[in-house]
Amino acid sequence: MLSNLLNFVENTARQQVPLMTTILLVLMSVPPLYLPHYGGIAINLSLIGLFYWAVDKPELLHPVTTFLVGLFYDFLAGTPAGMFALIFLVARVLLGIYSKRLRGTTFLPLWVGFSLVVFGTSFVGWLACSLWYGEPLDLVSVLFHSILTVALFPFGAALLIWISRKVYRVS
Amino acid sequence: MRINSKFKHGSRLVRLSFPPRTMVHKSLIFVLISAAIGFMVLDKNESATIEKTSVVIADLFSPILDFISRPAASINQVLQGLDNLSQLHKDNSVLRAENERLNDWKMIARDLRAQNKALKTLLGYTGDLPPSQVTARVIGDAAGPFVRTLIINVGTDRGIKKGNAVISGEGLIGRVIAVGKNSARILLITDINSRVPVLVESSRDRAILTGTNAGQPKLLFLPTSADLTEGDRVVTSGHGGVLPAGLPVGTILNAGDGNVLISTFARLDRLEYVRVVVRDKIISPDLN
Repeated sequence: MLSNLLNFVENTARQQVPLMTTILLVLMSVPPLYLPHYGGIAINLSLIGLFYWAVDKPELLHPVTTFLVGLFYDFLAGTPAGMFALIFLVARVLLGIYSKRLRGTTFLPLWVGFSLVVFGTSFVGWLACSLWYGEPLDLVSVLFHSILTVALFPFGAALLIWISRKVYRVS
Repeated sequence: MRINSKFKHGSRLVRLSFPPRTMVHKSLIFVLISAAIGFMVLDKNESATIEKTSVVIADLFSPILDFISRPAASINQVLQGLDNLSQLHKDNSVLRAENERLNDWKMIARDLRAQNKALKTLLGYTGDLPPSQVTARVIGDAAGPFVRTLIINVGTDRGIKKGNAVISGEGLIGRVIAVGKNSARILLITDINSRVPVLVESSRDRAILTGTNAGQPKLLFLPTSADLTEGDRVVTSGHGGVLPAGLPVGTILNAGDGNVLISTFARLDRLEYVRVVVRDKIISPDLN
């Protein structure tokens, strides 16, 4: 009886790992880093988590969850409410189509896939935000923001691969 | 939609060209995208519910943000300490020269203060109450190309109100746009939504300072006859009654150009502590 309960708790906890790590990455994206000139191009780390889990464990990152994580980021960061919910959803939909091809590949195709998602979603974000503000945002900042996000992917992915191996090696 | 039907073991099976689950999934995506756009529209219309939710979430997570921001703040303090050490000798000589200059200004200021006091007594002018300031720590810097805001660790518990000016040691950095119990959100002067009435100190030309979400803010609605020189100081004008007058903002970077950019006094990417100017009511110069 007790072992059944423990198994249930353990399995439930395992299933929540993608969501929890993505939320943790949201929280880590918000505190200041005090880096010169970083403000205008600061990245949203949770996109790395979203991409990784959507490829590795898509069944554990439902579109509704993705939407809610994006909305949580919007409320916390002060971006127009719904903007990152939209960006994350677009990313999730794109990844839903290509995740099977990316799963089990080497790191390079994964990185290229992430780059395409980042540039695609950044463009969606730029477009949505420009429409929202009623004037075009600086495209160069968005470009540098995307390049920095892509550059940081190996570090974030290495951590998530390690977590995934630790958590899902039995299942 | 194409529907294929066939009979199997005497019962009728209907097979759709794509399974119902995919249809539900597609409908769900459509609903979620519509909901995201709906949220954006609501936020654009300054929905009170959206603002309240944002405040509640910032309040709830402010202890966690405070905790997460500590290591970066400690590293920043060490780096700044090292930077200060390396420049100690140079700074010392610069500060000595500046101190001599400021001593001259101090004498002039004392003289002017006495004159000012005498004139106020003559006119029976009482003026505004001096504002009080609340020091706060920056726990969230939700920057990036889409928005330029900060989250600080004080709120209504310390008397912070929506619209309060926020300054650093060097000058204006923004204003409070949302307040929770123990956190507040600041809209930086570099945000595209920021509008601050300012004036050029030397020429007294009035303008509106607005952000671009990238780099330096710019001046809008300058008079065509504006007489600007690079390096001219820009301060808040106090018009509109939201921000107090005379807060230093920055200097003009490119006078004569159509797009007048401002180099802010405050280093907006290195803010650890800020001060909120708490005031019950600001009397706009328009009303004096």
